[in-house]
Amino acid sequence: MTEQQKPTTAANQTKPQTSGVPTENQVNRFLEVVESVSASRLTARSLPEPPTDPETDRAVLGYQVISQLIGRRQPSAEDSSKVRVERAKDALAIYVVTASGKTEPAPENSKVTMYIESTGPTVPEIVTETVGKHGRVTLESRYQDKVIAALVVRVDGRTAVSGRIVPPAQN
Amino acid sequence: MFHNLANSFQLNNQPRESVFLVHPIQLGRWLDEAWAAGAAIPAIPGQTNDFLGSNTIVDDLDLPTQPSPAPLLIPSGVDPVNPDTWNETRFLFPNGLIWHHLMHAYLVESTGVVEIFAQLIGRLIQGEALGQLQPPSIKWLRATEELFFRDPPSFTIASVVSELRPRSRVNRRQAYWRMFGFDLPHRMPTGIPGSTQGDEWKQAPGLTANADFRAKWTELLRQVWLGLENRANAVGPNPTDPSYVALLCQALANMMNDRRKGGLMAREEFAYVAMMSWFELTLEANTPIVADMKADGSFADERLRAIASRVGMQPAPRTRELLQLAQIISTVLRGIELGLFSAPGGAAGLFTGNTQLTRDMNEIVNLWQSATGDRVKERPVGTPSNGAAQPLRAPQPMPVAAGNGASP
Repeated sequence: MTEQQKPTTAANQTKPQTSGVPTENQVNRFLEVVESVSASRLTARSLPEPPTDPETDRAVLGYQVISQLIGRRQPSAEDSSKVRVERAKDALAIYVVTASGKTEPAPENSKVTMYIESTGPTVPEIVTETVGKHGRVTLESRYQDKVIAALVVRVDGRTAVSGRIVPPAQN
Repeated sequence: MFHNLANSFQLNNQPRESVFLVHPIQLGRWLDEAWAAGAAIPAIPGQTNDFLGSNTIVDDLDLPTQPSPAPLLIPSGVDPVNPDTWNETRFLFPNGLIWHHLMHAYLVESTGVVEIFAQLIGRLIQGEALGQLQPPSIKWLRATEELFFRDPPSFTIASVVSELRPRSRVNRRQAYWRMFGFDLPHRMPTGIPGSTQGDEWKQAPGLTANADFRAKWTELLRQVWLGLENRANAVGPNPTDPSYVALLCQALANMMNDRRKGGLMAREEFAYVAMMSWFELTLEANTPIVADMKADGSFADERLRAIASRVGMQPAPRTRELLQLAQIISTVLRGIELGLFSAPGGAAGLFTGNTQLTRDMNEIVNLWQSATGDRVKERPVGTPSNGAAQPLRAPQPMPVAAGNGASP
């Protein structure tokens, strides 16, 4: 049993204070308070995620797409995960290549962000979807004939960016 | 550029240095196919400016469309599964290809790598003092000499030497000068073909240079550092101003795109970046030529230093930082040039959150400061803006000027 775990006894509770030096009991009590506060509040109140602005998101994704097309070797966080997408008319099947080199369907409930290429001068539309069973994502009918400029999937804190995905008819 | 080819070999479970085993005639053709792949890139999210200053320049200068089988121009046939075969087809770039920014070529060449390898190759082909090479190194030697130290084959995209601009060393310096107002930190070698005396090339008629690139770029890094430093501030003042960062990015984008009007410098950039990526790839690992020169090391700068010592030369003192910077800074400058960060929301991405972009910016700040001596993390003492988070005036591209510039 460590010093901090020693049970509080009546004897040391009544010990008089000497010249402002905290007693062992006071130190223990202080440590307990700090521990409980940090467990209940401080860790729970970790720093909030920065607010996401679609414009910021677009720039960050654009940078990732450039990094990929430029052939840079990605830093470890992105290096270990790659994405492969099969596209049918109304759905996508998303596979990620794990760090061990195995290709597996993207995990159910992971988030996928798609950048739908626009035909006009407007910026790409951003669509976020949740992956279903077997890495499947259903495409809304209005996107079924649109080109997906890039698709980002986040798995276990890693990010993988796909290339351009054209509808089956245009393949 | 050759990194993309190395990546393809790697994806097919071949060593990255398989690139050096491909025949130079295939590599020459591959470069034309890589150029054409620039027209196949998807719309980049956040992009507001044309790629290379013109959306049609890649298509305008690529090979003509021809029916299959190719009666006129034979494809490169580079096979990412076996570097020693020709597979009858054009190389596939499924998502297109963006090549590195000219800054990549500038930073890599600033290490002195071209002059060191020129000296090495000269000695290897003219004498025996450096010992016997293994077959993969002999292939590397041949390909390097044929691709980069002779006139390129006519009608290829990388053919940017002619009677009107006969010296590739001068041509490259001119390109760096125009785009960044930077000259290489080392002098032009004398006494070998391609060299010249003095700086006459800076006086070419009509030559214009982005003379204030360095000032704007350093200020951008300083502002981004302010953002990175204060990004987690929950209380207290935060001097970060995304709008000002966006103005800086816009000014940089404008000055670079001014040099690219109508696709100017696109071919030159492509050719120079291809050359430097070849040398960068050579130094990336203990490749056959590195091993044959007994220049094994744990990082590219150590290998270059060891190779240089074999030929009685020394690379630039800050070679390590220059090589570490090259690919990251090139990616960021491409983003700036395409307009990703020209609006406050996009500019905030440079220092908000923990993304690949913010990590890269942090690295650039550290490496640029170390490589150039520009104090990025603190405002210079004695400047009119001393003590303020940003200067009084909004940034704008200064009128371009030919004349003296700087080099990191």
